[in-house]
Amino acid sequence: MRSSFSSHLTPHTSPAGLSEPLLKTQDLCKFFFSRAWKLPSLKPRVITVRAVDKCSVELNQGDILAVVGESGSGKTTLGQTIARIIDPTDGRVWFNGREITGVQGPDLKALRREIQMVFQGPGSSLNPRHRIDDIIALPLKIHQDLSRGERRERVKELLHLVQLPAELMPRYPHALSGGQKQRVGIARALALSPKLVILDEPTSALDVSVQAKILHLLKELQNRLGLTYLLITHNLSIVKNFSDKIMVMYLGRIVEMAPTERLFANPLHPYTRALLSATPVITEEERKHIPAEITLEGEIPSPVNVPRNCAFYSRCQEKKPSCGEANNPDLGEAESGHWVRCPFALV
Amino acid sequence: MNEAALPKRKEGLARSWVRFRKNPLSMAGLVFLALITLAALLAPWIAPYPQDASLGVHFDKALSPPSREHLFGTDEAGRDIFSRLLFGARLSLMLAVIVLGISFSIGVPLGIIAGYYGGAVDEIIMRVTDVFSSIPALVMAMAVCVLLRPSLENSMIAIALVWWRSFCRLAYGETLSLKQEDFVTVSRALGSSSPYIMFREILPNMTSSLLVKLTLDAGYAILVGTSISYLGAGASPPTPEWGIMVAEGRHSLPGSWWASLFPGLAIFLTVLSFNLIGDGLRDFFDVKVE
Amino acid sequence: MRSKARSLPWDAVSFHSSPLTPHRIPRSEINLKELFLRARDITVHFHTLDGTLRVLKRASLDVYPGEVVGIVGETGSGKSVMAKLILGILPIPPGEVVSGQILFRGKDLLRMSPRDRQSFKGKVAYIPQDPMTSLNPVFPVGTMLVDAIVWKQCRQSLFRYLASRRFGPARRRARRVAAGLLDKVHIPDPESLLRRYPLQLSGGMRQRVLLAAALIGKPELLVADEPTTALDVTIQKRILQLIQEKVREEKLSSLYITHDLGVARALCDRIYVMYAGTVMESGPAGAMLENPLHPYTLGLIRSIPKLTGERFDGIPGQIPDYLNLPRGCRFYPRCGMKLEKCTLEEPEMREVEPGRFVTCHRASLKAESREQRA
Repeated sequence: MRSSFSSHLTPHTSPAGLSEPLLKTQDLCKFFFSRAWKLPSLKPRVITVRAVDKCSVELNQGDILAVVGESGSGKTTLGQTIARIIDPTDGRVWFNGREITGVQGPDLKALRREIQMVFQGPGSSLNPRHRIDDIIALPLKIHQDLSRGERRERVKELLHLVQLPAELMPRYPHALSGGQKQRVGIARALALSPKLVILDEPTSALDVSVQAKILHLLKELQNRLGLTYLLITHNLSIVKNFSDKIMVMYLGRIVEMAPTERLFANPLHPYTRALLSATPVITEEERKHIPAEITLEGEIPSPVNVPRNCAFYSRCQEKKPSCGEANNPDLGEAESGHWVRCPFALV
Repeated sequence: MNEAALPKRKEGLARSWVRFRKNPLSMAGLVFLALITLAALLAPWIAPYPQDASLGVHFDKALSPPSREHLFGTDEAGRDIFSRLLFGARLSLMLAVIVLGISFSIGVPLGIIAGYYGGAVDEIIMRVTDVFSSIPALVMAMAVCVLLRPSLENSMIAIALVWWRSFCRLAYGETLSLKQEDFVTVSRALGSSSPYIMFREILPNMTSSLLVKLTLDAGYAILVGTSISYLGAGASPPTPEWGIMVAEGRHSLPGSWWASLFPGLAIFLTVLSFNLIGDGLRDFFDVKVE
Repeated sequence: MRSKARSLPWDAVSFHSSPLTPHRIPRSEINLKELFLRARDITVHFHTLDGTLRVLKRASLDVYPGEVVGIVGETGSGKSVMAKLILGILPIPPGEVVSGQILFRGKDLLRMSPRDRQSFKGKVAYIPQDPMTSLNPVFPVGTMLVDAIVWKQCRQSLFRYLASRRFGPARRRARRVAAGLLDKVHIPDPESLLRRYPLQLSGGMRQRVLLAAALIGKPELLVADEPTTALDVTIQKRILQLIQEKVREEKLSSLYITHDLGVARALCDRIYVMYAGTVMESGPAGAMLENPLHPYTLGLIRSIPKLTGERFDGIPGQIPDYLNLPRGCRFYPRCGMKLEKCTLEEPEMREVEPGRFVTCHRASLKAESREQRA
């Protein structure tokens, strides 16, 4: 007996008292290896790119966790590893109480229905030769056994959900604006009614007036469908207004993690403060929310062969001599729920 | 719903046609090709002397110059050259279609598979292609023809065997770059099977380069085909193939110039029109003016 | 040399002491008498297969010597078209300048002789948008810089340039100049950087190289087309500071195109906000962003999530289709404050307050009624 469609739209309310997080990772790592030969030696040197280095994350149902960082921080890789687009190198992952670390085959396929990803750059994630309705219907074709008519109905539902008209169904991506394309991407991600949606810079490629609409749409969808978001971005202004918890990454490591209010009220890690300082603000009022003027010198180091000591040492403006010698500090809890990877911030 | 408005523009095919039309040389090529195709299709009905295309011989009228009865004159067996040309058009176009069809069907899938999977599969397929690429097309085709019995059909097979390598290369290169695209990652993340990704996601995005290649290659394939027949390894008399017509007319040069000239001209103009269309298509796909 | 300039109307807002812009040029040094660049009523049409796109409609723009003028707009606003027109790189056809003039030191750029145009081009420097693709990957960075320097030194004579290729001294001198320029943009160890290839450099480094290249030949006008869009935020901050520093040091005027209001606030003295090919509002950066007078500017500011946590909303609707522009004000379909008049006729740009120019019927009417009352 085929279930009716309305059930796809009922929010995933967790039973009262469920204390287990929806997503939990422990020391999750993703390394990329390549070999380089440097003559005259014939033995290749192994180059390790530590894109994600021992990340432990906990995400509760209904939360929005923002992962913030610049290029090379590993935030996109983290998102892709959690979404199992790429497989982790090390560490463990639990989803909805079950361990999913090594899952393969049909279990992996089942997992894909629960965790979906919305990509950056709306233009590139839609195949320019596919029609909009085919694009949105793809996950349905792969995972669900619906007739063509039923699929069509579901696509219409999804388009309605993201506030797009059904007339767009036979069109091709090039006929759509950036905002519309991003909505299509969101519709596709929601097709299988996932529990966790990973948003990779969902608004970076869009105009300002469209960004706000997409963010509002995402918020509304979260409320309506009971979704949990992992938001990957570099924009702290968005994060302040959108997320419950923030994780700041630098060179593959988490350097600070705290509930949103706390992080902005009291940024502890020097990198977080530099990031805040670099956020372009529009009004004087906003300016007051930024700590002292900090401009970082130097370039963002490449994640190839990350040093043994604190990753931020090369650009830190508050570094002490001991930072260069000591090993990479551990995450310490400065106050309840506020973790930071800097010994001097913990005092 | 304020997201509804889409700009009014001519879509798809209509738009492409208007842009293509702007290039006079390509249009000339297209027109000529259309004429040749029509001629080929309607040959049995419009040829003034259809029997001359096969067995008709009239030695009394051998090598008569172009006149009102014989538009392009007659050859050494007295056959009307114009009629023979019309039938020859059929053969040449058929050769192009069959050769390209076979080499496309072999080369493109192999190229996509090699590009997509990489690793050992890639190595094997591409090295085989390399081997085939080391031998000049004409020489190889001739060798194959001579090994098998020389005939038009065999020459087509021979050319196809040699031609698939460039399609393979092209598809391989396109696949390598296309597989990095986000929409492929998305598809894989959703759980699409590899064949689906290869042939429903990647392949449709290379149609423009494949189309350009097909058009340009059609001309070149005809050239190779007629050359093989000219050299005696392909079609044999009395087939009204353009290549052997040139070869047969060679003996009567320069006195009875029409016997070689008109078939030669036919080859030249046909190949030229394919080239013009192909160039036009390439410019047309290249310019991303929107 | 400090010239006596009359007090500019917007001196009332003392933003040069704001912590946002510690390096801004003091107002008194901006010379009013010698208006550097004036674009007036520029109307540009683009002829395409689908019809004629009226991409710029009576857009006007002033640049005074020593200022940084920002052109802010979203995609399709026409800001790039404006910049390209000033630079002289707008493709004509399919573009067509229907009317308007761009006066540079009294001469109209659009109707100049090729020789004058060349001399103008010599005074303008351009920093392109994407540092990743703006440098030729097959040449070391030094080659590009040295070439440009030698070309400028040869006073753009082809003969001299070719001759210089044979003779060492010109090239060696140029190399020293190139290293000097790299040093100016605070690149450590300039000599070794000259030997590196663009692909070996990070985005921030490449952008510095482009900035250095822009400073060759002592330009007077710097046109920057979203140079920091592709960069990370912390790197962007450094580059913005660098641009400010150089603009002040070299006494340049600058035209800075961006879609980021925050960047415009940090860098620019005055801002022009463009929408659908028209300048909607212009004025001093601080005053305009604290107190916008045009509904679009207001909507834009409201759309941006703020660190203050206040509510943010988008602007309803979409940018208009240039083939099918609305009849009156180009913004009225999306305007929350429209009047009847807005749907019928296009508004003109008026100075509604000292130094504040707005293209809006409502704002104009408000200003008129204020004048009448006074």
